[in-house]
Amino acid sequence: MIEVVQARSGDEVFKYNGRLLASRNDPRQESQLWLETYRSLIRGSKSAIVLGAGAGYHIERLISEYPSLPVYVIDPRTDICDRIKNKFGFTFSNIHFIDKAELISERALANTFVILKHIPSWFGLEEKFQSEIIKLSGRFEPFFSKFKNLRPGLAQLSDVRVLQAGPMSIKNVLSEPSLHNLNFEDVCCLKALGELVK
Amino acid sequence: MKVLAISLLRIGDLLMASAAIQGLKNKYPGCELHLLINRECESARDLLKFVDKFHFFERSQIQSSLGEVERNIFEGYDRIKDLTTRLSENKYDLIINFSQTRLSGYLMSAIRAPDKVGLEMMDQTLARFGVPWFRYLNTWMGTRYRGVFHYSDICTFGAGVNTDNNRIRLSSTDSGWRPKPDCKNIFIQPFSADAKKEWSFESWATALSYLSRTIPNSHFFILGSPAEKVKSEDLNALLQERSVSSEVLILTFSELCFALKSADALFTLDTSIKHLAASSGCPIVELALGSSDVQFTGAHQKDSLIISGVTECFPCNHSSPCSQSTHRCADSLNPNLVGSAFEHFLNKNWSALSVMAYDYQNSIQLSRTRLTQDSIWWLEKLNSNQKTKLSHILDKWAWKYVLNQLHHGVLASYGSEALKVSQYMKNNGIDRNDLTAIELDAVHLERTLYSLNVVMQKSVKAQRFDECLQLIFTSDLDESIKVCIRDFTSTYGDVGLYAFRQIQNLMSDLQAHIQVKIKTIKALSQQIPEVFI
Repeated sequence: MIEVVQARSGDEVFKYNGRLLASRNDPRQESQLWLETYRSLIRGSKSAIVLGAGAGYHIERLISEYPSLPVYVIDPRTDICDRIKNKFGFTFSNIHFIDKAELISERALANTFVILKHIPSWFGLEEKFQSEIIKLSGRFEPFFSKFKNLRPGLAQLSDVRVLQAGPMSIKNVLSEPSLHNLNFEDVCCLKALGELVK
Repeated sequence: MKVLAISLLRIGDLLMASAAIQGLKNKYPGCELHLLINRECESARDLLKFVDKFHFFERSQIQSSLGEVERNIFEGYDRIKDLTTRLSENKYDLIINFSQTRLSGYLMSAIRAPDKVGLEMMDQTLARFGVPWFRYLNTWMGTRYRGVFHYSDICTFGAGVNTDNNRIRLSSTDSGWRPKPDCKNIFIQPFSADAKKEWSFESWATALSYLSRTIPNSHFFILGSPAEKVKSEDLNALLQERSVSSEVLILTFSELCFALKSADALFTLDTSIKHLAASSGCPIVELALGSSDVQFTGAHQKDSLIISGVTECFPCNHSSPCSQSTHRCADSLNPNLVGSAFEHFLNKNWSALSVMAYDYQNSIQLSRTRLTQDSIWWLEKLNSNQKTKLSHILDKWAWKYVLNQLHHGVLASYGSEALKVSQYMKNNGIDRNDLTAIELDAVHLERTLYSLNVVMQKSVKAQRFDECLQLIFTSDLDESIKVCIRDFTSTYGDVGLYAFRQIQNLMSDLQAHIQVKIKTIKALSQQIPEVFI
């Protein structure tokens, strides 16, 4: 159930099931602070995946500062997403509201993407958002294989068989014997990465 | 022509390599010069205005993606692949890697270019270097032997740029800061990113109190980055309590580079600031503590003073924490003695410093930086004897000769090299009385190396590496060389044919070096005695 309340700054903020989805004081300032925490991560990314639509201010801020960056907003509450689209008039072709990671284009997943969490949106839906993060991290099957196969340079890598319960790391990839099937330049990129493992 | 220089170390290393990087502009007139550096070094960009385009390696961003399970497992790969693809598309004619890390070596391999100089990793242990200077940098400098050259000189020679111009030249910006009139304006850099290299506030305060009493009208400017402002103010407050005239000065790199031109001296820890000062021609006193590798990274200008402790653990390993229960190398330095050395330095009283170096050699090490006529840097320990100084100079000359591969020439020019050495000896008051003793030591070492190299060749045929290594370790080779070979073997684990070949190369280099040293000594001995007068 969506309610609209007015923040002290005069902006409209959504309340969902009695919970505010953005700051009651100043949602625009809050969105600025949210973006600052991710700014260095966004640099060099080919797309951004926002987990949580909130009241839309953080999305508006993101696309106003990075207008050419394709943005995927994952939120299972389609009613909230529709309200946000209407309120902000998001008509850019590079902003997509979806309810699960599987709907993100393969092109976006095949290149550097950054996952931006909007925690105020998560209340009551923590497990749902957490499961989307697990998918997007690519550290568990079948997503690991999917992400690997989306990268032409890594497609020749055999499926890494990991007998551990926890998430996969780049160390598992580096210890995979089929690494030598890859193009030399891709092996070098992976080995350079290996040098950064602490 | 398009050239890419790679420097993926810290700001200090980038500044030290900058003379060589700038030299590329002179070597290839009209070339488009690009530079790949860590994003963390972006603040140095204003100092390097001769670079046409910067590229950044997002080191911390990539590193954090590896450890955070909520980030995509391939994010780091994507970012590196994206960078190397973008760089390959620039179609560089030449890439020069000035860093001695495997990371940079792998990146070098992943970027396409017809000509590459510097470390290029072909496999976990297989590397290419392009020129012997970078092989020297990557093999000897990674061991405790350390080698004899300054990093800046290795970069300059490795890049093959004009050695007459290997002084660091950085761009500067006027912030409006002006020195205090009628005062000795002394800059203090008391902070380092590495706690092992720092000296306690109490020690700084005692040393500066001493200086404020002995140097009339001295005024101290405590330097710091914006992030160090609070610490700078704390030290300043302590100095004010002791009636020391001081203030905090927070400037950007390029502003500081400008301000240093007007400073009377810089008193600094081992930080990048000393390289700014070297560029500005500011007299420098360096306090070398912890892992400061003074032989390799001292301020590249003549007549700087380097002060260090004499604890056996100094210099320690860069990447590991202090192994001692107390910070011995720092605590052992008497602040009044350090202050006194600084005072002599300001008065350009090198003979007093030499006396001090002898008198207090159990508690302080004083060294003077020198430049040869072709701008090769070396460090003269002020308490070392004439034989050590001369042997050190000859070592340097011989290594330079070998690494430039001049010894392979049909008519090797030992006579002309000896003339340069003798000229240098004459200019710096180094006599040749010890030449015979040095020659005897060198001949003995050459015989040992020769016999070991013969055994090594046989071992390769018989594939019996361990026995041969034992022979090396029990030989009368200098302990520093054995330590180097031990370090080298430990990086390979089990010594197989490839690793053994690498050790063989090191031993051959050493033998070539010692042979050149002997020939130079002989040429020196045969020269007209007047040269030495």
